Amino acid sequence: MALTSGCAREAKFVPDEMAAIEATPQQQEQIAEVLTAWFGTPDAPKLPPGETGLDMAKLQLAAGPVISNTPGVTHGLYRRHCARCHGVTGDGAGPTARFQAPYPRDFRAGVFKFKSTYRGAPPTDADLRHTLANGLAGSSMPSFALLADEELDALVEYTKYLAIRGQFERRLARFVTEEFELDEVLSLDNADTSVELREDLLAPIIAAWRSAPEQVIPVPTKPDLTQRETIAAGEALYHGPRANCAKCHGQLDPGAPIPSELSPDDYDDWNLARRDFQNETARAAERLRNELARVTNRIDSEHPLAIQTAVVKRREKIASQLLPPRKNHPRALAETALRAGAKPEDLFRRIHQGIAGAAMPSYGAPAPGGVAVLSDDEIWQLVAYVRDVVGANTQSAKRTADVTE
Amino acid sequence: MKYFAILLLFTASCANASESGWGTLRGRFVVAGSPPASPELEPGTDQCCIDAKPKSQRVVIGADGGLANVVVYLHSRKTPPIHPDLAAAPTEPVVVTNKNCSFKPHVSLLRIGQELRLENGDPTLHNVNAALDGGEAFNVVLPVEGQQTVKLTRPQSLPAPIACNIHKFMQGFLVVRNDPYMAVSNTDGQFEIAKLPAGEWQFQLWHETGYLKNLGAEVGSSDRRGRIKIAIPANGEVNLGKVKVPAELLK
Ligand code: HEC
Ligand code: HEC
Repeated sequence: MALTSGCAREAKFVPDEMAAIEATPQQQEQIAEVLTAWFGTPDAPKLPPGETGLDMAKLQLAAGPVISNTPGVTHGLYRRHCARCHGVTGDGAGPTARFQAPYPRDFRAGVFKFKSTYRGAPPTDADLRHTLANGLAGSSMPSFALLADEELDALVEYTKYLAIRGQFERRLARFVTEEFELDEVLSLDNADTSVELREDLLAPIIAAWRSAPEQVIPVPTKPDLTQRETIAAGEALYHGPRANCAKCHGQLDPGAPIPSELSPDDYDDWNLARRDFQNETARAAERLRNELARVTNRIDSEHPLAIQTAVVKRREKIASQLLPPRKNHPRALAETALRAGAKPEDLFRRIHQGIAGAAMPSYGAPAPGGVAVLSDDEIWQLVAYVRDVVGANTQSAKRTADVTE
Repeated sequence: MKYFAILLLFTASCANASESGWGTLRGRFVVAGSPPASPELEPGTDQCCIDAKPKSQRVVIGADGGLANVVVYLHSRKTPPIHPDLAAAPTEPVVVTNKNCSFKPHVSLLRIGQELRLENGDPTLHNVNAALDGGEAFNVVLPVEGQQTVKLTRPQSLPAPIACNIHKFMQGFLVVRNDPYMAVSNTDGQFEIAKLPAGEWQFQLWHETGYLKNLGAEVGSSDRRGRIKIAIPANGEVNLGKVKVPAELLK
C-alpha cells in the first residue's frame, strides 16, 4: 500500500509560506513560478542554470512516484523511504512528523547538524551518506544501510537538490520582500532580474555545496583516548572556566540539575523560527485589533489596515498549521545515545565546530585561520572524557557498531 | 549675496539621481504616546548577571522621549556612489563586547570589509550565536577574557539578531551592509548619515520591534515596509526633524 501512495494525484512542492509572509500574494505566486521554472516538480525535477554539480540520472531515480518497471530497479526512492517524515518538499513536515521528537530535519535551511565540515559549510556527500547508513540514534531517523549503493547515492543527491531548492526559495523570498518595490513584478523574462537571481542568489549556494569537500576539518593524530590522565584532563576542561561544557550539559553528578533544568528555554534554529513566527503573529494581531478599534470611517481595500488585516489572517492560518515549536535541550551526555555516534574523529569535529543550527557553539577556529578557544590536544582530551561518560570505552557502549574505532 | 541666493535655488531644484555632489541626512525619533515598560529580566544563576540587574533593551527611550536603536540605512539594490573619503571600509574592527551580561553596543553597524571582533568582559562563559542569512551564521564560544574575530562576506538585507544561549535574556543586533550609509539613533533618538550621494534615494527605517512603517516625516512618509524616499541635496542637508513613532508600534 505504501508503494502506491503518491500515485493517485500529482505531488506538489509546498511553498515556504513563513519565508514569504511579507511578500504580496502576487509576488508569492511569482516566486513559485520561478522555482518551478528552475527546479521542476517532485515528479519531474529540473536543474537550475549554471554548473550545479548535481547528477540528473541520480535525481530521476529518487524523484517521482514509487514505481518499479525493470526488476531490481525502483524509482521514487525519496517518496518511498523519506517523504513520510521529511515531506515531499523536504520541509521536515511529512505526515508523521508531528509525533516525533526531535522533528525530522527541514532541509530547506541548508543547515545540517552532524557533519565533518566547518560550521557554516554544507555537509559533504560522505557526511550525508554516513547519516543514511547509520541513522541518528535517539531520534526516529532510521538506518538505511540495507539499501543498494546506487540507491543511497541517489538519495544523497536528492537531499542536496531539495536543500538547494529550499535555500534558493528562502533567499528569493527575502530578496523580493526586502529589495523589491511593493508593486514590482518578479519575472525571469526580465533579463536583469534573471541575471541577479542566478549570480547573487543561486550561484553562492551552489558554490558552497561544491566546495564542501575543501571545508572538511582536518583531524590531527589521535592520542590514546583510554589513558586515565587524558580522560581526567578532559573532565577538568569540561567543568573548568574555558570549555565549561557543564554550563549547558550539567555537572553529571547524581542530583545535579540536568540540561533541561539548566537551559529550560533552548530551541534550535528551526523551532526558534516557528516560535518567533507565532509570537510575531500574536503581536501583529493584537496591534491590528487596537488600530481597528480607533478607526471610525470606512476602510476600503487599499487602506493600510485592510492590507494589514489580510496579512494577519494569512499569518494566523500559517501559524495554526505549523509543527508546534519543540525545545532542543543540550544532551544529558551520561543518559542518552549520541545522535551521530562516538567515533573519535566525529566527536573531535563536533566539539571543534559545535552543532550547526543549535545552541552548541564552536570551540575550534570558526573558519580556517581563525582563533581557536581550545587547542587540538584539549579537544582530544574532551573527546576522551565524553567517550568515557557515554561508555564508549566499555561493553555497555550504546551503539556498538558506531563506537568502534 | 544675489549670487548666493541663485546657488541655493539651484541646489534645491537639482535633487535627482543623476546629480553629483554629497549631502547629509539627519533627524530625531521620538515616541508618541505611552511606551511599553522595559521589563526586568530573569538573570539566571551567574552572580555577575544577577549583579548587573539586566533590563530589556528592546525599547530604550531617552530624555524627552527620544527613541534609541532605530536603524536607518540607504536602501538600494545597486551599489550607490560612495564618497571618496569613504571609499575603503574602515580598517578598525567593529567590536561587540559581552559586558554585564548584555551586548555592547546593543546594535552594531558593520560594513563588508570590516572585521567583527567579539570580546568577553564578564567573569563567566558566553557564546555569541548570530542568525545571519546566506550561510554567514556563526555560533562561537567566548570564555572569560576570550576574544574571537569573524569575517563576513555578504551584506544582510535586514539587521540580524545575535544572542547568547547560556544567558537567554541577552539579545543584540548586527547591521551588515555593503556601503557606509547607515546609522543607529543614540539615546536622544538622534541619527546622522553624512557624505551621501546627492539625488533621490530610498531609506529603510527599522527598529527591533519591526519596520517603522507609515511614519510621517516633514519630507514624506514611510511605506508599510518602513521605507521612505528622500532627496539628498548636493552640499546640503535634509533634516527630518522630529519623527514621531507611535508607541503602539513598539509594543
Ligand atoms: C521515521 C522518520 C524518518 C525517516 C523515514 C527518515 N528520516 Fe531523516 N531524519 C528524521 C529525524 C527525526 C531527523 C532529525 C534528527 C535530529 O535532529 O537529531 C532526521 C534527520 C535527517 C538528516 C539530517 C542530518 C543532519 O546532519 O542534520 C538527513 C540528511 C536525513 N534525515 C535524510 C533522510 C533521508 C534521505 C531519508 C530517506 C532515505 C530519511 N532521512 C528518512 C526522521 C526520518
Ligand atoms: C551553549 C550550550 C552548550 C555548550 C556550552 C556546549 N554544548 Fe554540547 N550541546 C548543546 C546542545 C543544545 C546540544 C544538542 C544539539 C542538537 O542535537 O540539536 C549539544 C550536543 C552535544 C553532544 C551530542 C552530539 C551528538 O552526536 O548527539 C556532545 C557530545 C556535546 N554537545 C559535547 C559538548 C562538549 C564536550 C562541550 C564543551 C566543550 C559542549 N558540548 C558545550 C549545547 C551546548
